[in-house]
Amino acid sequence: MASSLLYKAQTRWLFHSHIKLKLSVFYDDAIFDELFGALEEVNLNYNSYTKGSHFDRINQNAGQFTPTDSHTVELLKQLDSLSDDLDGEFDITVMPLMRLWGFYKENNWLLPNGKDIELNKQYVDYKNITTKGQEVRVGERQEIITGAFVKSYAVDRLVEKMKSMGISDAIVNAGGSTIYAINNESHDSWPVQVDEAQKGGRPLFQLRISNECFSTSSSENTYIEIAGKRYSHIISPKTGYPSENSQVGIVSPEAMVGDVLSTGLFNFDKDSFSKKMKFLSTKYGVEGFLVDKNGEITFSDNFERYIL
Amino acid sequence: MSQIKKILLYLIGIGLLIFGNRDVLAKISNKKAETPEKELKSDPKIFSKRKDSVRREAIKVVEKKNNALLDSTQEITAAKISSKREERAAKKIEEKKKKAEVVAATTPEETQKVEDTPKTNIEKEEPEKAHGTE
Repeated sequence: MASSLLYKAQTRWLFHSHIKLKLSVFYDDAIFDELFGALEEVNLNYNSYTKGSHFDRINQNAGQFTPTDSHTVELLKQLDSLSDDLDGEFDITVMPLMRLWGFYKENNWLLPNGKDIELNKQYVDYKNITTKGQEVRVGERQEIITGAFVKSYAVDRLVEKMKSMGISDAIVNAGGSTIYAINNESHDSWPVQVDEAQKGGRPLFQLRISNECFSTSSSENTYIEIAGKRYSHIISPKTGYPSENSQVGIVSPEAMVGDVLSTGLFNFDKDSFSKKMKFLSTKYGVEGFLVDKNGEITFSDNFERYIL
Repeated sequence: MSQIKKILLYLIGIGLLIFGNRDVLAKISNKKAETPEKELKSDPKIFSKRKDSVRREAIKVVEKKNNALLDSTQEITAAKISSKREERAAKKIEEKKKKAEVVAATTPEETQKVEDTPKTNIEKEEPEKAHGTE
């Protein structure tokens, strides 16, 4: 049931996304600076696109150990485990393939040939990331790309901070792909609208989530077009080719877990998705759905309980 | 008596001379005043000279107005051209932005833009719209 409570909302631009925070109207506006500050801190220290961040320095010193901090090492450990659980369909070293497919070029997008794909695939392997204490090393010509997890990692850190500040009714919408709901007894859930992953796509369903995150991956906004055909920005590290699926949605207790799983599962077909979700639901307490290229939706066993 | 007659005649003569001359003078001055008009009407050369100078003046005025009109037209055209150029430039920027968005969350040279003056809105519970990476 929709709440009649009033909230204050602010939207700022960070992690190449519009980040919206919405919390009780009784808070002073100054609280937003403090909360966005927590996100900015993650951006400064852990975004591989921020010069001087831990991941930027690791990439710059490829082939050599680089001093980092405990959070970086912990993050890498968690990401390694998630990649294992996704059978290697999520890999933070996928950058050479991203470049090959033209996601860092302007114009001149050409379909890469099989030989080049194989050549670049040899540099894509998260198992080549080595840690020694708080030092980290990636293989030569390897590069860690944080785009698939740093924003949601920041949201987890923010939610932790908000809860420690006593905020018990709020929602964080990080660019539409990571939406975290914080709820209490007087407001037990937040609604999330899910539409078809295409411009002007029709509504699929509305969810209600509570103290959980909804993460979604799709090629709705991020794709390249070669010879009139669209290719998703989510590339399978195993095949070297972009997935043809349309959308994946995951509800999870932690934002980063949901974000990584939705990215990795984007490379699964509907049958392997169903099987994998049984395992992931048990291990991480997540539920989700996949929309394939034909628009066919596959739900995990208990996802439908979130649908209104 | 003859002397009186002589004096009277003399006075009449003088009177006639004076009044007669006034009429003559008046006639002469009228003639002078009328002359240009008459001359204009009667002398085609003078009329044509006057007409030319009036025409020149008129042409000058018209030219001045034309120039002013031309200037303003040129200004409008220039403004239109520059606004079209601006439109085209804005379109190009927009296209570049879109391409940059395709490159997405991933450009190494990406600059993190934070809105200068964030606004606080008062909202009710509304569904948050989920979509893929911006």
